[in-house]
Amino acid sequence: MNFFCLKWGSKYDSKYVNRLYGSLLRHVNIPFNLTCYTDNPYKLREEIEVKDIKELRPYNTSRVFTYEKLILLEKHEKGIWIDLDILVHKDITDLITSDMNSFTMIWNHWNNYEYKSALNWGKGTACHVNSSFVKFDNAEWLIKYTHDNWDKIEFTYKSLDKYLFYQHFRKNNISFWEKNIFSNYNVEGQILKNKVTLFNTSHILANNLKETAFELHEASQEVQQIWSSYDI
Amino acid sequence: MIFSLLTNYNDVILLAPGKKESDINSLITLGINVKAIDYDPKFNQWPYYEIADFIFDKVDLTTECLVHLNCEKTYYKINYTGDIILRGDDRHKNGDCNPITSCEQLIEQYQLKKVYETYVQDFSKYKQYVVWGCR
Repeated sequence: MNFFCLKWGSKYDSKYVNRLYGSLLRHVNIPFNLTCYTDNPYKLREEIEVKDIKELRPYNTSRVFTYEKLILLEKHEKGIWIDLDILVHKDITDLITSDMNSFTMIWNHWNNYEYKSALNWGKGTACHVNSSFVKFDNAEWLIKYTHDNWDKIEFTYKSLDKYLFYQHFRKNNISFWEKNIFSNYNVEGQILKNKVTLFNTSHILANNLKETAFELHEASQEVQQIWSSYDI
Repeated sequence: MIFSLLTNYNDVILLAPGKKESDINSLITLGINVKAIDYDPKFNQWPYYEIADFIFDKVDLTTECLVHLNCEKTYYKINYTGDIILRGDDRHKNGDCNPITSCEQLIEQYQLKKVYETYVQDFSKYKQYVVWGCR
């Protein structure tokens, strides 16, 4: 199994990548590789394969935040991409080895769809999907559609998740992980639930929201103990 | 203003109208053929509404007058020739990818060949720009 992550800029340091690798060592019971696309490989564990993130940037844009993930699909036929700001805290072997469609991502079960997304669809602010943990397998349809429509996509969407929601969820192109696998720390009472917990905060900054949210390194003592235990 | 202009036509298409049920019914009463194209699925069961994303989907825009009621929310390249009415605002709302700050911006983006009329409505917190022309 091949896992991929992205690290650029200064928001997350090498500790995030190294501990992500440690969490996979503990909770994935099949052979795997982790490749990190980055602009700074300093202090990354030697078991982690390092590639230049420029390989994933054919478009010079500051929009469609994290579109680089989609370019991964061109470089690698199948695999799983994972964000750095997640905590894997239970075994995910069954999850990652299960048969899925060509593109499987997270449905935001912790939000009320009718109130949060369906109601706001026309405003262009809806987004009920999350690309923090995505399994892909020959998703050529998505690569082609993205390149064929790049001008429109770049102009219209601030983030990859919004693009996927507005253009591919509505066409039933995307499948979703089952409920009770993922949880959202900042939305669900700052506790660890299910198998993998997300600590997303980027949307708060991007939309100037006045929400209190914790990054993984700012979370509770319980979280810190688990997270730091992935140092080896 | 916009809906009074539409009495000049027999067939119109409204793009991204949102909830415009009463205006549409008024036009229908006047004998004008109306089709509304909106990407919001909540209008799925509404008469005269077609649910589609007219930027990304293949949509037939053939009509006497095309009316785009929320230019601030969409890309501006569309496949259409003929009379057109464009409306957009400078509210800079979260979902707005194309804030409109002048009538000239609309004329330039949509490459109008003729401009019949322009209009700016000054609300307390934002301005709304309207252009009636031809492309």
